[in-house]
Amino acid sequence: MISAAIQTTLVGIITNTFIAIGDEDIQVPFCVHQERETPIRLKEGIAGYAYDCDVAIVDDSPDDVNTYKGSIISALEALAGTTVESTVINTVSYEGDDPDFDQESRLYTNILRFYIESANH
Amino acid sequence: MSATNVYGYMLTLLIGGKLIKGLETTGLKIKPNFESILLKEDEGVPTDDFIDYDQEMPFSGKTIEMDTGESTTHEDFETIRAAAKTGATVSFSYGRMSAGEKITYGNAKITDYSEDGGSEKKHASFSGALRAIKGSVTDGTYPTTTEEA
Repeated sequence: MISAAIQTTLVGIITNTFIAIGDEDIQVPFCVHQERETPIRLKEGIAGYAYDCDVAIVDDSPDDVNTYKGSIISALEALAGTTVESTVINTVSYEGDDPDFDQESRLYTNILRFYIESANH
Repeated sequence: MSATNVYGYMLTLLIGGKLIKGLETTGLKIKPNFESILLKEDEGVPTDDFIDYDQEMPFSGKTIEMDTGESTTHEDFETIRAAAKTGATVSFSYGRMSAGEKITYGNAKITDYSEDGGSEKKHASFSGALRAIKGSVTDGTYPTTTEEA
């Protein structure tokens, strides 16, 4: 599962990392990631899977959010050509981010976008 | 009697009897050619006399190189690229490559070939087209007639 592979990678950077949704009273910094799968269909059949992956970083320090951003980009792009949690990851491409500040919670967020291709689920 | 659904993936194209690695889409365009004839006996209403037809087969896919062990069963974008530059005649089969299904096969020229690659870590794409050589095209069934192609 690509989600498990990403979870394993990100939890080493931000301990409070969750798939899809975090705990209600989670302490910052925390990270939430989600993957949307599209099969790569060729005439010969399914040749792999493409994922649009969003990784959200939340913290009370904009500097720390930026530091985590760099670490996460490096860690996920380093997954290309490796097998993690039985998932053969072919390519990982960082495609941009979407930084924001939540007035109510006074927390800084940044959503990183990745494109990932794997040979299997 | 129930109808048979023919899905897009079933319609494919073989070049030289081989699969095209990374092939994603195929197409078939048949354009009959007519000559308009107007004789006195037609009393002012012209008739279309069938002459022959042009058959083109566009294709496109992702740039995936075949494994060394696949050279007997596959072509890939690089071998097609090379063939396109020589103006070579290639045999083709188009249709459903399942036993007993109808196909069209014959000889063709690669009349168009292009590649498009961005800067992302994603597959590039290739596309091209075959134009059948007139008089060489036969309709038959897979697989027996493809042996002749």
